[in-house]
Amino acid sequence: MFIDPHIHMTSRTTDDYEAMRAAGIVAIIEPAFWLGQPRTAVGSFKDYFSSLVGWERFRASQFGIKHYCTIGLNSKEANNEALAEEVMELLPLFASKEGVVGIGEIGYDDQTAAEDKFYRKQIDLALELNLPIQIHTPHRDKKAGTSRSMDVIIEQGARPDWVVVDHNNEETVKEVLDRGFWAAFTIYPHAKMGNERMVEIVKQYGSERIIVDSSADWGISDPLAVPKTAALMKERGISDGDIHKVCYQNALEVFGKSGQFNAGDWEKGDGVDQKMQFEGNSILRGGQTPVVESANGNIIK
Amino acid sequence: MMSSNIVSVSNVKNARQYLYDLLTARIDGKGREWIDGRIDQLVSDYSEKDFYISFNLVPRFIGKQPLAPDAREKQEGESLRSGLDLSQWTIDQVGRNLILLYMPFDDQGFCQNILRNLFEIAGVDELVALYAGLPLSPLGEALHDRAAEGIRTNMITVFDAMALNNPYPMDYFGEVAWNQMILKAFFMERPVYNIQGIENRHNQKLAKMISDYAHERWAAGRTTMPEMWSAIGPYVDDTILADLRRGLEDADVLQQQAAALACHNSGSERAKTLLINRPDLKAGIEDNTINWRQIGIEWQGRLYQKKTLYE
Repeated sequence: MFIDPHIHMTSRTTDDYEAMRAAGIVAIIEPAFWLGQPRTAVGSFKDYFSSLVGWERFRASQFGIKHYCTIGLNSKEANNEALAEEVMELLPLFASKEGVVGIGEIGYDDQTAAEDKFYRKQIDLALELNLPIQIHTPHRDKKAGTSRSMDVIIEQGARPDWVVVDHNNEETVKEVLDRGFWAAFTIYPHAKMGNERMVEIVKQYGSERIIVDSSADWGISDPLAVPKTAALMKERGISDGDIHKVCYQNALEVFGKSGQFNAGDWEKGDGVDQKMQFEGNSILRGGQTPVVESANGNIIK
Repeated sequence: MMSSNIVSVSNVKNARQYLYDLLTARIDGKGREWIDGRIDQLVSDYSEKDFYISFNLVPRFIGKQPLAPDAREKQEGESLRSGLDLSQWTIDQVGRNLILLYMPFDDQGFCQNILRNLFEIAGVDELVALYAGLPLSPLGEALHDRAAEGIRTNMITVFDAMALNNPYPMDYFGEVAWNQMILKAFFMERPVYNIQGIENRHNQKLAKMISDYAHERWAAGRTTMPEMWSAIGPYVDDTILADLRRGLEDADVLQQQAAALACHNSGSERAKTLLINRPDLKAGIEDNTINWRQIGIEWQGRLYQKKTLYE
């Protein structure tokens, strides 16, 4: 059983859902993100957020996968300040919904003043609603941006053990772990991390507070990054217990703090899901051995 | 209480009490404290934002287990509003609808705005609660367009909440929305025997739409859902007569039973003569071992099996 705690399914096809289920993914978290280009009206945000708790959640359920999300204003779009203020008004209405397991993905892109302002406001919202935080760390000036993201969390009074710092690499991981945050790694081909590097990180740092995800989206990315990385870790001698922690248990633990993310949801299915057409009992129960097993097919560079 | 097909603004208090009793019989002290607190706040100082957030938070504080109303509770529901059927509800739906009943109904425009926003930002299970709760709203017919939107969805649980075990469509849908709902239920292969009024609200257009749909399926080499013929009413023209004959000659017993039942219920003499050679089916209809509910349940059982095999 795997959890992919960072994947943008609105950009993915039903083939992906089928393959993910076959590979043993039982639950996913879809952070609110941008669409590859900036939105121009608050209604676009409203419809996007409502699709995360509505249509996409239903779509995933048809494949026996439980879909959760985090709600937030991403850093790129924080730079349109007037629009961002309107989005801030919307956030509590969505963030308090069932199955919303955190505020995310938030943080810095260019590290502008506007990004900083809305990042802080959203940390305050997470504190108000008692929700974990999912941080997107910047692509450029990454190391300093990651440090600053954590500084601001502390300044706003949030607890590191409620915060997942995502898109780590070899340069950032030590500080994130040393300061008590959760360190997520995005296995994303040609950018971010490859999974052979990921294996080395787990060998070096162990499995405490380390999380693997795909961040698969509309770019060239891999929705099977988590099960493929798990298979590669196994091949290269990492213990089943460590694999389970970084590909399932750690994500469950930190996002479970929301009270909205419980293994019982996919182990038994809840009362309402019993009525689903593609209820998928047999997928949710047992038989979860990953089918991705070819010798080199698991490597993502 | 007089049984009525609407919850009027004057008896909204009874509706609140009904839901409150259902809920509090099933939750612990903490849940009760929460819902009492939310109600107090809505009554004393109504704020739109508090209202939305209370609606959102219901499952966190009162859970989601099936409501499973007992016979007395079902009877009370029926007296409150004819056709009210909460047998498929979960208790969060009860809680959400209880909160909805604390809208300031004397200002209809205000309530309509709140509802529009609520529907626009709703998640899957929230939509289920909203649509299933429409027959309890004192806004009644004023919510017709909203209800019709509920049958356009492709989210199965949401469609079911509006179409199945719900008296609202039977009471308020015009012919166009009604026919669309029935056709869509066939298209999605839903258990249509749970649609209230399906055998009574027949019309000629619907009968033709059903026949056309059957022909489209046959042309594509697909089977039809046997229950489709439950909605044709008395409109047996030459085409439908041929359709029913085809059903009677189908290798599948369930198709034969459905065609026979439609022939029998149509009241059409020509249709009934088709049954002369099938005393077995005629007897089954007369002693009620062949009925739409049984046909629907068997068909759904097959669909379920098909899905299980696919898994």
